[in-house]
Amino acid sequence: MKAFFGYIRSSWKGFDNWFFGHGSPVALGLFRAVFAGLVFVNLAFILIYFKDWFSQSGFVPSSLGAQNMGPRVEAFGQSIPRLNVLGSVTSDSITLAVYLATMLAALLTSLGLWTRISSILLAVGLVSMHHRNGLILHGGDTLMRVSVLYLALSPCGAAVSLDRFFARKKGLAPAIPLMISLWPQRLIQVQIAIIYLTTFWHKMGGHFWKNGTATWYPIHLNEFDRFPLPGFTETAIFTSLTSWGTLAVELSFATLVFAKPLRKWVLLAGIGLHAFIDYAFNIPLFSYLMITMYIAFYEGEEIAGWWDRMKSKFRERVGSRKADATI
Amino acid sequence: MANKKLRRVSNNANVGAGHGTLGRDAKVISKPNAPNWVKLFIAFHLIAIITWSLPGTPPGIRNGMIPASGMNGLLLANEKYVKTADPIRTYLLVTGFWQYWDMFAPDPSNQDLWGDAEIVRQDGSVEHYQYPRMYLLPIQKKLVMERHRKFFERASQDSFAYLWPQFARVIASEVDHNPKNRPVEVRLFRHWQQIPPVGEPMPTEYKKYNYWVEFIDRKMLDKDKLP
Repeated sequence: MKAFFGYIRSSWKGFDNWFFGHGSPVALGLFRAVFAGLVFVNLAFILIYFKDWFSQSGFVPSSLGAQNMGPRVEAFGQSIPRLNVLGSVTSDSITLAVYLATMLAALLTSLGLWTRISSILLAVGLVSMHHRNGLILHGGDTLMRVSVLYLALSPCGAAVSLDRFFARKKGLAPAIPLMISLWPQRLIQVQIAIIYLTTFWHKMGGHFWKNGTATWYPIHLNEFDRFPLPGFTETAIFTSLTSWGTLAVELSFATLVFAKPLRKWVLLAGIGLHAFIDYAFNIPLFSYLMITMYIAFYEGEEIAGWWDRMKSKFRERVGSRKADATI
Repeated sequence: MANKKLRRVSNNANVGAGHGTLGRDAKVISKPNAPNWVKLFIAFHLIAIITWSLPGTPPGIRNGMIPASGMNGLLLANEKYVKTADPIRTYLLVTGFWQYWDMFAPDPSNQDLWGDAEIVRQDGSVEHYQYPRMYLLPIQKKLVMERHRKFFERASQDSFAYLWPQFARVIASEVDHNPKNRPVEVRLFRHWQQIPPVGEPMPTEYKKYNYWVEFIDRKMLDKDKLP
């Protein structure tokens, strides 16, 4: 019994150190820079058709947006408003101003400038947009929404940011950034695992994935077409391999990816899966967002170590070229 | 801060430590990991997003027609008592942490769907209006207009019938460029094609259904045109 409780205690301690322990903020910073950049691009895409999606004379005026997604949640015997700064806004100019402010916040978050406030503004703006018009959202949007909320909760500007660059120039920051409690990064890792696990679970409730014919259907949907696919993608064996392969990759992301020796292979398989999705199907940015999430599976120390090795290799090459030129 | 110990901490002290500018090998002011309230919040958050994202049970089980057992029993309990509990539901729906991960699941769609409309003008003439159809667009347009496909996928369903009058009015407004011959009626159509099972030949024709007719109120049209 004593040994059992000892085992439980040491397991909890191990988990506690992994989830809440301190480490380099570099992975979180790099994730922030790339992910917020993609959010900015996504908002720029939608901005082109802003009138269709967010104006009172478009397909979804605010009244219809509210009919689709109630502006309030009935709970605890009360009516609680959803986070939505556009909740009662019917002016197109104000909506556009909030939209542009959200884009600016995405850009600043990506650059890591005034990161604490810009990441919070990005989260509030993006959540508001999603609550204003939920009729145009797909899985990539959900990913963006929950991820920017995680960024807003985290010290994501502690590295790979202009904030740090300027602070160092002014002598206000140490040469090496302070380590942070890694729970926001772990939360992102667990979020990814939940995404893949639950989508795997949903798929196990259907028929096509289990019988190995699922990928046959989307590649024949003309409205999803992006680039032409070679003939072998129409064969039964390819269909089975990609259908069952998808299930295997998704399950691996909920399990094997946390085992360090297997991590690289699981991530490469995920990149392969999303590269195929991005080539074959017109789901803009979804694959890029998913692959960017994978950064969270690397420790900041690993990324920084890799960056240093790349730098020293580059210096060696430049140095040897200079030497050759001198000779 | 004064009561915090200054010490070198790293979960991965052996990884890439000791050099460079990006930020490892840092000196950190640390106390044991994170405060308890953060841990409690994380535990609640994880319970909320996991229970919310789990699949529901098949309708037969949900309606009580088929007895729930094993995993289905757990999923049913989750649906009935956990997912719908006020703290979880409110937390997720209010903050924006609500999420579903059912991409291409439980089965991928086997229905190719697009929409168009017929515009009837004052003089009785009928013209065709093509709502953005991804298949016909060049790649750069596909990138920025995918939301139109997603919107139509939802908006054309009967459960979203409340969107149809506005949908028709926006189309009418778009084609209202001749003051002497204005649109008076918009007929909305959906076209669909069922993808057959593996190895069977693809159908060449799409089925077509007129799902809504909107008689256009000119005053509304003029109102929409106001700056």
